[in-house]
Amino acid sequence: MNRLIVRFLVLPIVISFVALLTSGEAIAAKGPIKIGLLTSTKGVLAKHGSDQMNALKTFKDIHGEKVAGRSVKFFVEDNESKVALSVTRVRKLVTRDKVHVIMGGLFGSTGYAIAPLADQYKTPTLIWSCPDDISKRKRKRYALTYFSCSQPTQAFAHWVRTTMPEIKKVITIGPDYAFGHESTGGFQQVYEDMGGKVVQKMYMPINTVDYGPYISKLRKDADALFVTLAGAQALRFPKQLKEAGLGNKYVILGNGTNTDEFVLHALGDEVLGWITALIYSANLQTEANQKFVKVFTKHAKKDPGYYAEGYFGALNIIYKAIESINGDVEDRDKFITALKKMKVSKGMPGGAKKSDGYGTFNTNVYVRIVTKDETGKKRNKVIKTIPNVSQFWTYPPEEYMKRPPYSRNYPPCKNCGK
Amino acid sequence: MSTEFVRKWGIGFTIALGVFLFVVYPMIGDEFTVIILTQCVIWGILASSLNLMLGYTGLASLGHAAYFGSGAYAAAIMSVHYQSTFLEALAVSLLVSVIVTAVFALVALRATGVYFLMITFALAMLVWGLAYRWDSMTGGENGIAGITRPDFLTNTLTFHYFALLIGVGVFLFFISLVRSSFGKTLVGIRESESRMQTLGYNVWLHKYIIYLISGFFSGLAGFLWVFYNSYVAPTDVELLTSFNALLMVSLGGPGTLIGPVLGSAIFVFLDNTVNMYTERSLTVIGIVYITVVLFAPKGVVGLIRQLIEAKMKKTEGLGEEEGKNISEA
Repeated sequence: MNRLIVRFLVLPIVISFVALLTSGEAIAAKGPIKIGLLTSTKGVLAKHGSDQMNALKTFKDIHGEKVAGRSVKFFVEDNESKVALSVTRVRKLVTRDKVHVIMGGLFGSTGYAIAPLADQYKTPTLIWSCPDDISKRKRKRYALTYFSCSQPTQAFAHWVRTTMPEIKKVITIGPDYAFGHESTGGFQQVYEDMGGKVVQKMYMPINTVDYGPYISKLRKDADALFVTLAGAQALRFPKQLKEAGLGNKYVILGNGTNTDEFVLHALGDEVLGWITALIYSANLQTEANQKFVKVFTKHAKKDPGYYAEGYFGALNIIYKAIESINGDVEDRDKFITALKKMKVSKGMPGGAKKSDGYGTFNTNVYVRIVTKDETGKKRNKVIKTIPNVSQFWTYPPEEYMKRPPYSRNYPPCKNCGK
Repeated sequence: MSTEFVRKWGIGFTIALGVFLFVVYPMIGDEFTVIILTQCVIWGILASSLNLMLGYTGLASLGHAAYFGSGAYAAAIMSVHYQSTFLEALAVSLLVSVIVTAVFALVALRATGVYFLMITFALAMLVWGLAYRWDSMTGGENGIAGITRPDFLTNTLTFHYFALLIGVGVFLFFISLVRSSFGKTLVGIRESESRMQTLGYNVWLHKYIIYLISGFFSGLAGFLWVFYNSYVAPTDVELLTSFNALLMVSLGGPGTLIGPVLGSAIFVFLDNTVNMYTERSLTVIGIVYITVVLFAPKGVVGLIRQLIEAKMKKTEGLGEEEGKNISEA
């Protein structure tokens, strides 16, 4: 009996004391700089996640694991393509791994979920996915974004309206969550402000497998489709559109994610001629990009897309910010202030990024067309570079932010049903 | 060693372990472990309330995400859109989950067996659809972010003890419920519905009441979840959540009080630690679940009981054998 008491009561107490004594952190002078990364290597965004992991390898190869005289340690967490899980993962990075900065996130909505944590834990967080409002109406002291989801499509709408005036009526199709709403909203806002007409809007769940019901409803009197596809949608939609016999009926415009290099090699000829806009193309002929593509291809055995470039670029910005404060990442305030002032052009595969003072970066937007090169490989050929694009396009920021955020119901479809 | 002796010490050991893990360890462990333990408590409440139906009444529901989710969403909407206080959010959250349960139970209880499973699932999808489509209130696919805890609960440790206090309260209530004559009637219904009916029990009413209780506490778990995660999205209401709850119960041991708590602890632990060591975490977790289902169909608690009973039988058997030898000598 006494032995049992010893076993069941004294033992835990002894263990707890041992744990207490050993759990105190060794107070080292200054350990490595810890960078927490969030990605999705499982689920609907697995492909994008694996591109990001290869981008991390590429980054380590090119920039090394040392910055401002201090070594760097990366902590990778996987949210399994579930937004709610990102919250737990970020908490783990902050409380267990004690990271100094967090970067990453796929899904625009992930950004909205984790941005409040940045302020709660006072941890600088560079959100890679592009939640519009984190750099607009819901700005956070410790969060910033790599770009804004509507940034490329607003610039693209302007380009479409000026270079293709023959297009009169456009149908928009997009995934039914933040990214889709913001990509579509940005296009519609600028396009209609310039006199164009969006005559039909469709949003579909991200996990949609059969697009038949949507495709059969497309208005036949429209001239072009503005399509935003994410994840596995990019694989399925083009094929089904072609099978429905509508592959050549419309001019197909869209967000660059449709034909991003993460999926381009797996797509058939049905996407040839698709015109899309994004902050990157693997086909850019700059020195920085060619170096990036070369190393990335070695790891991934395929071209990098913007999911890869973005990860690489965002890490580059973080490195440059750390250099600018001489590695003093423990001073969170100084770190986030530096991050929010960065202007980086050297070593950025997608071109220069210039902080806009609102929590994101002005960036180049590339209008690309899918073509085949002489070897028969499909490429996103850049036909126009729109430099230094602001997240507010050309609208005054204050005026822009007075409008409601882009959502399923905004901008309203004035010309639908007409 | 008598059975009673083993039982008593088994319970003593479990309590000591529980106290150490949930009360003592958070004070000394790192913050992330506390976060994980809080998650265990919240899922434990959900799994235990599902267990009242699945384990004690024999009603396999695949729709508990609906009650969990309506509690969660109600709390989130109240605190973000209406800036309500913590208590107001709690009241509305519980009220909404009870109302949803009351309506759904009316429909679901018309079916039994596999049809009950299907109809609870279908009903839960209604709540999912609402969360997904009612943009202005629920934020659609983006969910509701930035739900802040009241000042006295912002600390991770305080929130853990708060959740634990509620969890223990719920657990004690469940113990007395299961041991009451009402609880015994439920087990009777599980074993033979027709016999209970013949004996004059109002089977439907018993089922309806336990459904309500189960939904109420699932809503409570949802309420805690919202303030724990500061974020709610349609993924919290989808099939996977219902399924996970079902898994926790069957993993730990349906029809036992401690089973679901243990099941949820195993679930949360696997979910959060395996991925630190391997990229193939889902495969590893899957294999663990399949193994448990194949080799311990009554859950971990059932397996432990079975082992102890087998051992006792063996020693008792030996004793008899020895006695025989002695008498023969």
